[in-house]
Amino acid sequence: MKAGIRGWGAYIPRFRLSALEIASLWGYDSRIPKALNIVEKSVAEEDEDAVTMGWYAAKVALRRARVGGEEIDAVFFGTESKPYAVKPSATIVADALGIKRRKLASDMEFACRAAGEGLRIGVGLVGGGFAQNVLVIGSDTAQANPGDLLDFTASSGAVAFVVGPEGSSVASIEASVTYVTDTPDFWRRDRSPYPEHGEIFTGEPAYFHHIISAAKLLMEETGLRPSDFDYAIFHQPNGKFPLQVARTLGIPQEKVLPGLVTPYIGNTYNASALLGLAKVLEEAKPGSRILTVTFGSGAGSDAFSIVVKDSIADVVNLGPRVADMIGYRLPITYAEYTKFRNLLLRNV
Amino acid sequence: MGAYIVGGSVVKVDRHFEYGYRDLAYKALSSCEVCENPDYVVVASALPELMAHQVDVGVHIVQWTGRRVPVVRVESGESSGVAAVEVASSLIRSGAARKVVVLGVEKVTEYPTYIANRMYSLILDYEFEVLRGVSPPVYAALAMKELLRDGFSRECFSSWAVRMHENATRIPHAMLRFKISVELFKDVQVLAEPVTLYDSFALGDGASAIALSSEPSGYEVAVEVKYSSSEVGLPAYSRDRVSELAASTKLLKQLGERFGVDLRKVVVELHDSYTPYPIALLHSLGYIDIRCELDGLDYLNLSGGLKARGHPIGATGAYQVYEVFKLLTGGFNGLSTNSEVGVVHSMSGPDNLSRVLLLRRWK
Repeated sequence: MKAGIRGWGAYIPRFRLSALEIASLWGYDSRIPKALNIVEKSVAEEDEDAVTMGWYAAKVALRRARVGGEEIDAVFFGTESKPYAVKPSATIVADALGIKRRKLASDMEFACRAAGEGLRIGVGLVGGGFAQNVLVIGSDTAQANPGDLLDFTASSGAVAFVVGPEGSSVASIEASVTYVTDTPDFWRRDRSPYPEHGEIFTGEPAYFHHIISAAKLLMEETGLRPSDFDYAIFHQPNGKFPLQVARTLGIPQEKVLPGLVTPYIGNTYNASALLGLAKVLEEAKPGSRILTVTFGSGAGSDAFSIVVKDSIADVVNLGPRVADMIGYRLPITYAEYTKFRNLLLRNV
Repeated sequence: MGAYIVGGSVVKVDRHFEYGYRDLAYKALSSCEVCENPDYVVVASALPELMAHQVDVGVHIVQWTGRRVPVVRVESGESSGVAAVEVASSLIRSGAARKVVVLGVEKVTEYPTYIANRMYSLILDYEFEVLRGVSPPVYAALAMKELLRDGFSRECFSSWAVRMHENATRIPHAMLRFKISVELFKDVQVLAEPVTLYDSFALGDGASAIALSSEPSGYEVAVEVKYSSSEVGLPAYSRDRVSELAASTKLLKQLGERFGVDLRKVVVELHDSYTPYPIALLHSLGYIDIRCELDGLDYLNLSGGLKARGHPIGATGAYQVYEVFKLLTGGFNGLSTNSEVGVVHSMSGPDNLSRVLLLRRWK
């Protein structure tokens, strides 16, 4: 049995921190934001975390999928900023949404691609007949060492998908592959509050190698060519890298820009590329073929070929659109950012 | 007895994340056919203690490549590669060896760039300069400001970088094989005002092997190391002007006076770690005025220079020598010259120490 996307939902906090303010505060060249193609990033408020954001996105995904909690057989929660180090987030969201108890549920961690792997597992469970519907959530309040280059982009957001039988889906997942190696480009050690990264090592041998390898593998296995895709969405650690990947693969920029959300909301880690996919699903015409490639440090990529079906028009308006959430913004200062993200150590 | 370069090979200057210093050295040596059976190996490397945590790097490279020949490692900052060729030439001229392989190798991507740059800054005086926050781009910025005050335009320096990138597009082993334009400079990251990223060399890993012999007749091609010299300059902080590259100027003037070398007629590789330095040097030698017209200097940094071929610090001099050798003996990748004479100029820091080699085609 083939699988497809039945519904999706997203959540982007309304607060925005300007990249120029970050540059000014930390003494960076004011041209850095332009070089990274980042204008501002979304910031979750004090009482928001990966679970609350993921819950909202999942609620909308269920609504678009037009399925109830009794019909969800598995919940996978991809995050690297879970509120509890030990205690699943997937169970919190599942119970809050009234999803039945007879189900699989777990949190997944693979830097920014855990939700991508969740999608692949969902495709496998549905395709193998082990589940009717699988809820996959990618949600992060991304961490970055204040003042590090990552501080320009690490942001907050969530996305969720309901994967179900292809026949009842609004977008068919016609193929998917995963490419994984042991590549230590970005990590966070136990008891360390912020991740570290290998700077230039995160580029060519990590991000570019894995995304390009996964995309090429997908095309080899399917016989598809870059020109067969109407949209291309790649993991978005900044606004520049996805465009470089597209150039390497021979995909024109206009096929990438509709799904490029990082310049306006930053890198939402597990939601990054998949928020781009959600946005494209809300804009694409039936018959469009979408290439989506996730990336997670460590490192790995999942590549998907997704074909939009006629029935998508029936569900797009059942929830808020990503483009509207991007536009719904309230600028904040770096001081407010430190308060919202609990970056100040204090006695309480 | 003369010393003759009879062949060599290079590894592409790049971020070779998958290779350590040993692998790079092995790649260069194993692709150099004439490097077989040397009497001596001279390894040029500037930063292995800092970047690879390895002392006596020459021995470990020779052991790794399965050889059992004597080896010495030469360290002279950014000019290590040319210093190694000087040492190799001396070994041959003295009769201590008949064949010597110079192996320039540098591995700089073991750490993030900010750490590599911190290590590279140690070419300056640690106690007097580095501890006080002075770094190589800071001196380059002072030099550029002096030249701007002299009447040079900003485009003069940008044009050097543009020309180097253009040259590098024809060099298979160059790191930055793409063109840039003067317009790009207005949006590029500033390293030390007014010096930008595009005014700076490209930092990369690399390895270059060169074989020198006392007996050139048995080889297809040969280039004689006709003359070599070096000069220590004043520390930049003790000069009236940072852009006054007295040591380099003196050495290159001597080449003109003693050997009639005209840089417009020979293949020449100038050390251009930052764009103000080659401009200052060519100006002090009288080849350009403030209009900065490089016309006539047709064989100048055909490799793309440190700017675009890349700068694997201690190995760079060995790249320069290899490139001049190739250009004097038929060229490479369709690039050739009709000159029989070549000049290699290398310096460490802003003319703290400068070296020149005069090479002449033997056959």
